[in-house]
Amino acid sequence: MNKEFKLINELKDRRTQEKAFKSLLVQYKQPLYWHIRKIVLNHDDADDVLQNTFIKIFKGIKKFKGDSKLYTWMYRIATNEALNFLKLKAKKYFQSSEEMMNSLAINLKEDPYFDGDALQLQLQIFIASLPKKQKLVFQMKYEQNMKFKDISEILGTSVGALKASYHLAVKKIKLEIEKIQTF
Amino acid sequence: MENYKNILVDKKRFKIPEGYFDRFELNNINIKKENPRGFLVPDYYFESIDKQQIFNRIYINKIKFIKKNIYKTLSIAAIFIGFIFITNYFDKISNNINKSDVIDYVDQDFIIIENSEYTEFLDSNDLDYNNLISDNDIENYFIETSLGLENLIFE
Repeated sequence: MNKEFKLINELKDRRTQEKAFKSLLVQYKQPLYWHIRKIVLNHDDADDVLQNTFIKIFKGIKKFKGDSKLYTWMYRIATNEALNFLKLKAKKYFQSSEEMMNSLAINLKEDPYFDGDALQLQLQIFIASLPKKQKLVFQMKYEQNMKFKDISEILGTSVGALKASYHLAVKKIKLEIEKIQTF
Repeated sequence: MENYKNILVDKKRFKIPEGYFDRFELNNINIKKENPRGFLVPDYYFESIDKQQIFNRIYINKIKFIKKNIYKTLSIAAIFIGFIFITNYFDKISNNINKSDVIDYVDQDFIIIENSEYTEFLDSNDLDYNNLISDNDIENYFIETSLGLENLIFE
């Protein structure tokens, strides 16, 4: 029996649930946090979304049929949670999703939990300005070095479409950064 | 024709080199891939996340959910009870009108009832014949008041 299958069974069993959840948390809290953080940008928001993600994982594990890998299933929950969070936040402040993303990226300058230099800040602003799918693919592929197959499972898009999106995203960002460097 | 068919199914014509898309990197730009983010977390943040924190939050959410449902149920129950109370109250009011109140109401000429309508309301059994004016009473009345014939006809 492979490790993942064993962990899933333990998570579904009431007697072993807590122990298994603890090991799941230890294993995935950091990668999921960074994945969420790159979408929502702000630490407090990321913390909030991370906790909601683990709550959803804990509650939803009984329904997990094992059609996909556990890790891609959890990333899908985290991605959806983060995107929903942003949607609600934009609604709360009467902004469009694009405006919200832009202001979040600009606010990084004042964020005590961001110590990037001007170019890194600019990179975040460019990433924030990308269309949703391109942004997600870029973050998962470039920054987290995920496989296209796994990204495809997480986002529910074909590998071909993802590669095209990634290619476009890289091209746009490269162009924008080159513009800055020529000044 | 055979060659034409072969051209259509020759998918290799549109293949890309292995790992072509993966080669797009931002290596020529001065951003280190090891730490491209510049994002930080508070000290000991990851150590602070434990299962108890998540379970506490699940517990709090459960309480919130139960509270919300209790408030909903209570408000629906209150509306229902209020509705029943109001309908019963008005029913009671309409049943509590005394006979004397009705008589007073009619007597004060708020409504005008014709003689013919009285006959509809009254049953012959309700009439007390013992208290009717007797012939002797009429005779005595005429003697005592000594009314003239003209007045009598007029009255």
